[in-house]
Amino acid sequence: MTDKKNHPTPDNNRPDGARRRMLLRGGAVAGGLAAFAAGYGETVVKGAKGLIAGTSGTSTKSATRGNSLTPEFRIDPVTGALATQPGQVVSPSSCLGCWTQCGVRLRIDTEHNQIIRIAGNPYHPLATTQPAAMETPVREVYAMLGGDNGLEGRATSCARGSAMLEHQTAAHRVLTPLKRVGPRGSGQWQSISLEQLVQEICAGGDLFGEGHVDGLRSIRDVETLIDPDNPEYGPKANQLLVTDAANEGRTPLINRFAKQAFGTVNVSNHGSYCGQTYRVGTGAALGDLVGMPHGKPDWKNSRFGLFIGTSPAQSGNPFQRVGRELAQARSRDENTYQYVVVSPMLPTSSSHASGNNNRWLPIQPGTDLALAMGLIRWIIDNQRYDAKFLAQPGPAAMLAAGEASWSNASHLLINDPNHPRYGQFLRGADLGLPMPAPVDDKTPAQDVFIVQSLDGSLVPHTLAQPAQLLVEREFSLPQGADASDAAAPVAICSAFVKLRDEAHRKTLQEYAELCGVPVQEIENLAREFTSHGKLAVANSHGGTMSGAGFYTAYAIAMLNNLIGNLNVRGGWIMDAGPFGPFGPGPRYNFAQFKGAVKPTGVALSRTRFPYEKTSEFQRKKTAGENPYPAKAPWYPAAGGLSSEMLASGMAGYPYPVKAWINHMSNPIYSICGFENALADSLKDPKKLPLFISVDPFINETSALADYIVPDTVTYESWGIGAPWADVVAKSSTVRWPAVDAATSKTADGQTVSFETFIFAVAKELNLPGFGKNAMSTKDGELLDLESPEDFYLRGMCNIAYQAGKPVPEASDDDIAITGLTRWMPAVQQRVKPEEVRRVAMVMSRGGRFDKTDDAWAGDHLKLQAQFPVTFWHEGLSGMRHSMTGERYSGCPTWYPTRLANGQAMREVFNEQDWPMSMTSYKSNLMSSMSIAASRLRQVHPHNPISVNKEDAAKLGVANGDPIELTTPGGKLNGVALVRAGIAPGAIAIEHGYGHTQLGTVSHRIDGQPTPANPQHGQGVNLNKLGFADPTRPAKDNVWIDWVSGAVVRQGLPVRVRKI
Amino acid sequence: MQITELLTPYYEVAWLPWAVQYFFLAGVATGAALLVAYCTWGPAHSTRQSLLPALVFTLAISAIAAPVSLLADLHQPARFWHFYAHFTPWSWMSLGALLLPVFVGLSVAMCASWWLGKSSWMRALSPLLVLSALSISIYTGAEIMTVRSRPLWSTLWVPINLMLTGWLATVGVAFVLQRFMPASLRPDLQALQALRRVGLTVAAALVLVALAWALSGIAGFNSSYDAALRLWHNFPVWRTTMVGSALFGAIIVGALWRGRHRLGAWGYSLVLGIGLAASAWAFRWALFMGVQGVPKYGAGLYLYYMPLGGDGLLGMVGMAGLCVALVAMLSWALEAFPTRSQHHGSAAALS
Amino acid sequence: ALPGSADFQPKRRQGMEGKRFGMLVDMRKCIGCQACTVSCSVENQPPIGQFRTTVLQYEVDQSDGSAPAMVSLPRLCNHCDEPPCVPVCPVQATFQRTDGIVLVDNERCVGCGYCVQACPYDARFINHETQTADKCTFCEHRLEAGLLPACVESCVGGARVIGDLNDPNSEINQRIHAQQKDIKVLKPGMNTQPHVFYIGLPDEFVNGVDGQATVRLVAEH
Ligand SMILES: Nc1nc2c(c(=O)[nH]1)N[C@H]1C(S)=C(S)[C@@H](COP(=O)(O)OP(=O)(O)OC[C@H]3O[C@@H](n4cnc5c(=O)[nH]c(N)nc54)[C@H](O)[C@@H]3O)O[C@H]1N2
Ligand SMILES: Nc1nc2c(c(=O)[nH]1)N[C@H]1C(S)=C(S)[C@@H](COP(=O)(O)OP(=O)(O)OC[C@H]3O[C@@H](n4cnc5c(=O)[nH]c(N)nc54)[C@H](O)[C@@H]3O)O[C@H]1N2
Ligand code: SF4
Ligand code: SF4
Ligand code: SF4
Ligand code: SF4
Ligand code: SF4
Ligand SMILES: [Mo]
Repeated sequence: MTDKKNHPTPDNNRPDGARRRMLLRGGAVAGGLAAFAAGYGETVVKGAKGLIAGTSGTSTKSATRGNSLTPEFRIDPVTGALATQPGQVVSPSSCLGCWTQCGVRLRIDTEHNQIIRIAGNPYHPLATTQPAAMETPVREVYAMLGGDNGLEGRATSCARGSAMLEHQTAAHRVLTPLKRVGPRGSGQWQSISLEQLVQEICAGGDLFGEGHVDGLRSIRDVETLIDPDNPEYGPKANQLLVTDAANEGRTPLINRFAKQAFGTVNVSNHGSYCGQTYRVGTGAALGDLVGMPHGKPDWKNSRFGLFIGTSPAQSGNPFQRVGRELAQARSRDENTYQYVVVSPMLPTSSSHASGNNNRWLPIQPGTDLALAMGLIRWIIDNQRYDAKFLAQPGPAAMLAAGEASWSNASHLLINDPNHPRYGQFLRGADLGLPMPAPVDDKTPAQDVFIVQSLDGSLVPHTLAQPAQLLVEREFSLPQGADASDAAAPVAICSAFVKLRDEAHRKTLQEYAELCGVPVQEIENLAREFTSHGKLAVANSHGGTMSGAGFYTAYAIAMLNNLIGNLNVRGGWIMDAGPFGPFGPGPRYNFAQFKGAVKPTGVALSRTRFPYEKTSEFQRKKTAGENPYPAKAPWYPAAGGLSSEMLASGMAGYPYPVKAWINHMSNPIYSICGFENALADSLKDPKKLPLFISVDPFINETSALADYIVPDTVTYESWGIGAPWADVVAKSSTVRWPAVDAATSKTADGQTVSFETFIFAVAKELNLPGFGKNAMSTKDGELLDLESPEDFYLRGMCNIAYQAGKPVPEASDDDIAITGLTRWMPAVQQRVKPEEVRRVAMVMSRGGRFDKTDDAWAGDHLKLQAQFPVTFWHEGLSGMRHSMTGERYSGCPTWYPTRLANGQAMREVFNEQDWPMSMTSYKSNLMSSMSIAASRLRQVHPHNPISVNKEDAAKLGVANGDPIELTTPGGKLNGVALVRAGIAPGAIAIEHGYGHTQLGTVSHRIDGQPTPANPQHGQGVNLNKLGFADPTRPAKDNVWIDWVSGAVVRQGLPVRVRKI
Repeated sequence: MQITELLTPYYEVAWLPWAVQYFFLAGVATGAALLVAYCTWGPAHSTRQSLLPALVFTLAISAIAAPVSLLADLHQPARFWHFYAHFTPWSWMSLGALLLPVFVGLSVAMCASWWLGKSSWMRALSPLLVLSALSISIYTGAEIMTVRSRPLWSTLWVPINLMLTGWLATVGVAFVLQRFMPASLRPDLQALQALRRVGLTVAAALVLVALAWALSGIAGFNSSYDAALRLWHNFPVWRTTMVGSALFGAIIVGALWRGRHRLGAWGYSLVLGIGLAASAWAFRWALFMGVQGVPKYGAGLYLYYMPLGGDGLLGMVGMAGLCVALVAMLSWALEAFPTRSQHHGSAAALS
Repeated sequence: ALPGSADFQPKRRQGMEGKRFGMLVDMRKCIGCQACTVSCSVENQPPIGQFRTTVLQYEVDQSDGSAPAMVSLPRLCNHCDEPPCVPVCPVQATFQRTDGIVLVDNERCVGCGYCVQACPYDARFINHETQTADKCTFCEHRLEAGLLPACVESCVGGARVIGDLNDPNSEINQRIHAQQKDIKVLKPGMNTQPHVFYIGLPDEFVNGVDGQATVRLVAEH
């Protein structure tokens, strides 16, 4: 051995060494065993549990089926007969997982009053593309849900819809009425009775120890003017603002209460921050700014879809239905559907699996107007429009030409900007034609429009002959009696020429540069779109919620007008609407009642009322001042606008708000910039003296309320709704409480809910239209209106009898199998004996639905548009922008996205400081209100922020890196999702995450903390980055589209930084 | 085509770190068993006999601790009897349920015989123990190798590597444990050198095996090589791991080599022993925990968050604790109740 | 095949007489809505964060200059005809039935996780609550009652079709027949004979996904 001889020297011979070793060893034994016990403890406990209980986990109902639910039915394989499962019923209801409100079927464990699963209602056109016929017995329809039969006719609820049942039993639900004890938003509440709540808000007084608050009783004054200097503002009752998120089935009761009984004009919903740009823009293109009709593709027959700012299957209304229709259309073996989705980010509308029949076209956020104008320009320049369609100037010509609609493209208008009638159409009177006779007693006579016939003569639009499309000429208007100057000829042109000229304001190249879509792509897209005759549709929605949103949506809708696809098979089709429940009949009269008020006055939102007609304008004019700009924008073209109503009421212009009753809506979370711009005002009792929220949950907005009235959730409540769009058959959805409500009870045993609140307030204030003898049958027999059942069951009865043909009667089996038995006594009490089973028919089907086939007459929809397909909107062109005084354009034309004072957004927020542009898209999973559903949230627990991979490389950002977004409104940190599927320069945030309430944090009720789950707060909310428009004189609201009044959420200036 | 997975669910590992401990201890035990069986036949006062107590010590501890951690890897530990009630001859794990108790039994018997000084019993038991140890090596290896779903497991190289690294660990653990034995039972330097040579041989074999694996992979006969290559290309974590283990392997071989001169140096055997054991342990960690993070279908890697409790860190500390306690207790027991062989043996030696 | 050999399968247990269930997923119709994922979760009540079926969402970017596109890929147990998960089970807790359905007996399962490893499709998991192996059952409790599995009955796009492959007239057979040349299965090379068939499965997805994962976040309660 060559080794050095330093053997380990044995030291254990030394006695103290031995002692030390003993000690060490003892320590090692003890320590080792302790560690072992700790590390192995779980195993031992598991083992012990296993020995005692037979399993170390939890045991399940069945060894192979686990805890899978007991099937609701059994369908005999041979006979196909259906047997029910004792202890379960399957009830129709409606979903509120998003605002689509599909009809659903609830599997209910009757013993435990518990919804165990949700799927689609097979009768409901939003839940299935092959709805069962109303008259087919429920048992038969349910029996068709199984086996191969069930595949074609499957009736579904989407991921949210299937998970939302958790809402009913959610730990963070509010069950008793609450009154705040600390300052607004402090999260401190005291539970009170509904009776006390109603008494306090009606009487007012020093309710919070912060000084006097006017009660509803004193606000409800339908005589005294708010402001004698501005009489057009109307009576004091207008100082109550009532908002509703949207009609989730109960808006008619709100309207009855707020408008007809209380008398306020200020009733509105979330429309202005949903898809307002699209609704108003499309309304303009269809000539109806009040009804704001809009359409959807006839998927089954259409060949080409152009989706600009709406992403079917990603979101869209009706979400499920458009998703399914798109899926089926693109997988059709014959006549395969082709489509293009234009969006800053790649949505789930795209399908690589379906091959090359679809593609994504990236665009810069908020720049779609340039794209649409480019498409219009190319289509006009290359004459790819439907010239035959456009040449039909009126209904008679339409019929003669076999078209489904007619347009005003050929109508002649005064085209001299200096002429007082600039933009107005020539009328029969201008040619000296006699006035036509009135249509009927309700529809007054309307003068004809003038067109140039093919032979060059000027004729009324009502002749059964085509007119010339491209007309530019002069015309001598007849002189009025008092006219002194000579009849000078004035330039006139056809509406179509106006559109052409506006489209020609920029070259394709310029349009391409503005939107980031290459010229080649614009040309290709225009060619594709116009290659299918009328079997192509351009559709849009939330993607147009930008600072040029109205004209963007108008321009996109104009693409349809150019190919004349309205209401034809394969084209752009309108829904037939609902069976009216709350009108004057046919069985119960809701429309009229004794003491009903017709609310009057300018709405807080300054809508549908031109600034030029105000006393303020007159005063300024008289004083020789320039009346422009107004103190804040007016929106003569739009209605509603809850977003402006609240802000304006708090700012006091046109007048101050005194009380706000909010049913469900959640502006703090949902309105881009609201929190930054307005949360402080909302917390200030001087600006908003009284704030009552009605909601099943404490959402971001109701967290700031003075009082919260706990509402029922959709499965526990009554409601009558209807599909938004896409259903051509007349349809109404009804729901009834399928499980007992979880909310507390009033002293007299009623379930606390929105309705009990409304009835109690109406009673306390002695409002007309509620209580004893407050309503009547169609024949005038007086009836009491004192409970939700009185209201909804009779409304359902109207549905059952609508359209001149009552529905058939429900059978005992229909009633039993749907669990409707529990409500039959109530039905019997409310309606006439002969009506009972027809009401039950509607209730057992979850609504009333016509057959789709009945909606068609040959290749045209039976439903006819009431207004012409519009190329030039005369009304619009007569309106002015109240901040600049400039005229609105009567047809689409290019504008940049603008701030309130008319400045381009990029002039104020330049590209150096804010190099990127941010956009929002709805989650295909979450909605604004679904975060608490754990079985949904588990699939996608948060929302990373989409960043283009090239941008990410420049920023040094990798997938999953934390990043910081900064806008003029604030900063926000999130996690980067680096992808190719987003336009370079764009940032996109999926909507539905980043909650701060809805169970995210704990509140204190009577000193006790409420349950909370921080997971509800995961992810980010784009709206936190919105900002107050700095160009509004008082900086008193968020960025709003100047024409439609829509809240802007697309195309926000932003910069990004890695953190 | 570049693919980005936008919705990435979270998958967990089904085999917990307990499996790593088990496969480590089982590997140590099989190597110890083989060496014990071999050394049993060494003539009195031979190097082999000098090594025997340390190997017995190693065998005893690893053979006792191994099944303990195996049991914990079952999510239903109390149902271990199902293995016997529903014996399933075609499942390697079921076979393992028979083979393991036999091995543990034989190992304990062997250790007891040694303590009782019954060298004839030991010699009688040794062929059985050899067979049993091999059966453990084979079943543990085959159990992994039959998992076709994981190309990184489904290869003959895995059992071979498990076996060889296990034996390397035996050497390492013996190096460590001998230091905690009563002085009279510790191997002499010559014996330690012999142990080192065993280690070197095994390490050399491992290097050869690795080369053969790579060559067969390059030649295209070996899908586990392709899978590994993919990991190397796609994931920096794996690149680091692979480079790290190659470096570590080289250091270990170097250290074994150096041990020829340095083994007597204070602490060298300890560091070397720990290094050898750690390399075998790390191999298992990568094989089990690392490979389970490779999606069988799906992009990227699944993340493994080590739980702090019994299923993770605490469990590992616990197993280490058990081993420490066993070492302390056994060495104490050996002092308190010296082996019969020591009485006789020393008497014989004196006479 | 002999016990122990790669293709050995233990004897199947009694299932629904004369049937062989399979599923067809028409990916052209899948809109990635996750109604199936959630409905399965509600129907079968696995713990939150553990899934019997998933629909993974991929963004694909081709080098041919075309725009990126989406792939939604529904996955679940394939109820393979040669299921590698079954023979490995040491206690025969997981088994296949004559109708092709592969099940786990959670009262026998020792939770060893071996089957989880053996499944080439990540279709199995150890259920946190039961501490035993769990996976898709094809909702045999519903099939037996003449009903559709939760994921099929709630499939919004109509992508999922289940049926009896032994019945030549079944809807599934007709659809498979009509699209014969486009039918693919996942990892055919594993020789597991999967009985979940795909239409529209891109080639790049057949044997696994060679791509980037993005932000993985653990779902807790
Ligand atoms: N999954 C799901 N479905 C839903 C809802 C939900 O919450 N979740 N909510 C329902 C409701 S309330 C509504 S109103 C509808 C709304 O349905 P949509 O209007 O279709 O949805 P949005 O997300 O508002 O916007 C549509 C798309 O616009 C695109 N986009 C964003 N910015 C721009 C832009 O600047 N230019 C262009 N061209 N595109 C842009 C995004 O791709 C986005 O997906 O959906 C309904 N359906
Ligand atoms: N950044 C960004 N902002 C957006 C959008 C976007 O895509 N991106 N989308 C916009 C659109 S389209 C819309 S429509 C708005 C929606 O905005 P809002 O209508 O104001 O808000 P929701 O979140 O839909 O609020 C509904 C409230 O109803 C309550 N609720 C939930 N379930 C039930 C129930 O069963 N019964 C009752 N009675 N109440 C219930 C919840 O407390 C929830 O807060 O948000 C808009 N805001
Ligand atoms: S689309 Fe909306 S309403 Fe319909 S089921 Fe889904 S969440 Fe419910
Ligand atoms: S998919 Fe996996 S779990 Fe299902 S049968 Fe095949 S191998 Fe077994
Ligand atoms: S986890 Fe259960 S079913 Fe799977 S192999 Fe182990 S014992 Fe069998
Ligand atoms: S068949 Fe049943 S268990 Fe399987 S994925 Fe579908 S719903 Fe889930
Ligand atoms: S429910 Fe159907 S369409 Fe929706 S993700 Fe699942 S398979 Fe796809
Ligand atoms: Mo909306």
